[in-house]
Amino acid sequence: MASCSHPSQLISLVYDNELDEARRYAAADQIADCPACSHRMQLLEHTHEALCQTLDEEVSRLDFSDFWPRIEQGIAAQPPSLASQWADRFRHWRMQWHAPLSWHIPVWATTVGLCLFAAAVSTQLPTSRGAVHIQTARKPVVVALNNQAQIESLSATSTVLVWNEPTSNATVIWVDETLGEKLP
Amino acid sequence: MNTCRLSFPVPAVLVFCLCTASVAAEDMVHIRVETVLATDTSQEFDNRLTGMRSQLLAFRYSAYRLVQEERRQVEFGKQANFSLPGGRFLQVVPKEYVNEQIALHVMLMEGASPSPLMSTLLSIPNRGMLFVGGRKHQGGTLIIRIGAAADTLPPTIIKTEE
Ligand SMILES: [Zn+2]
Repeated sequence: MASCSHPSQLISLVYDNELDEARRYAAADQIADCPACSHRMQLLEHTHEALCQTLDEEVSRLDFSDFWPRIEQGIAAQPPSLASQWADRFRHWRMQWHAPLSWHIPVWATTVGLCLFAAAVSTQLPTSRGAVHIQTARKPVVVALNNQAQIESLSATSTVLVWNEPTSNATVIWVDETLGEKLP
Repeated sequence: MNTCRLSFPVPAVLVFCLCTASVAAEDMVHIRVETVLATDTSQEFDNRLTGMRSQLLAFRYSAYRLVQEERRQVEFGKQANFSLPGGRFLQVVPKEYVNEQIALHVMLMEGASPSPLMSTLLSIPNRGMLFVGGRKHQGGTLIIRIGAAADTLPPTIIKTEE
């Protein structure tokens, strides 16, 4: 690799955006002109990217579903508490949640407004597929009770038998040249 | 206290992204293909098939084993391809979603033949299913359950090979 006379902090100063605009541009020019610095910059970018990706994956794997139940269990497991202890806890809880929630009330107001607007728009969006319309309202996930298929066309190079399975009425397409005794 | 400060547009952008993502997800069809090997060699019933026990009993075999399960999320008009045991191949193309019915083009391919062994265009209810069966495999018969849902289900891809 070509020799490099630039100070080793140059890359991190640019990467962390710690220089004013004029110096940043000058430093960026120097990096671009220097193969060794360009390579180091690339390495730093790739490392950062890999790190972010790994963190994202790790965070997405975390299971928070029993977070509150476990806190409740923890509280319940404590010895019977006096009213003052509860008051302390409430004050602590308020301190914890008041600060993050209170900042920028307009931000949250805008967010809620946008949310409602987006919900209203998305429920009335015409679809691009003409007759095809998918309802956006969530329905409980249940499987169809009557699964019977409406067959528009069916072709096969083997013998085919079609019947409906009796419990869910699901259509069965049986492709079997021997047509055994197994069929209902 | 050191709180995470988000600048003004961030929550709004997040909400917008979530909403557009949910609209896009509605245009997808979730296809689930479960391949069962049915035989008469034992009385074994694979406990992963408990959810379709009553359906399978209609086929009158004595043993059922799940050999493969695969889930795909696919756009309307796009193919979902599934490799099946014995070098077979299943292609499912969701065509449209009308009146709670999902129209599907289902093709079963076998061997080197370019023409499908079976090809059908049919509609099943949303979250409904159909069976394609009858092909011989390892001394038994394959029963393939094909499910389709046009609303958001967990977009996981699960594949279990024998
Ligand atoms: Zn350099």
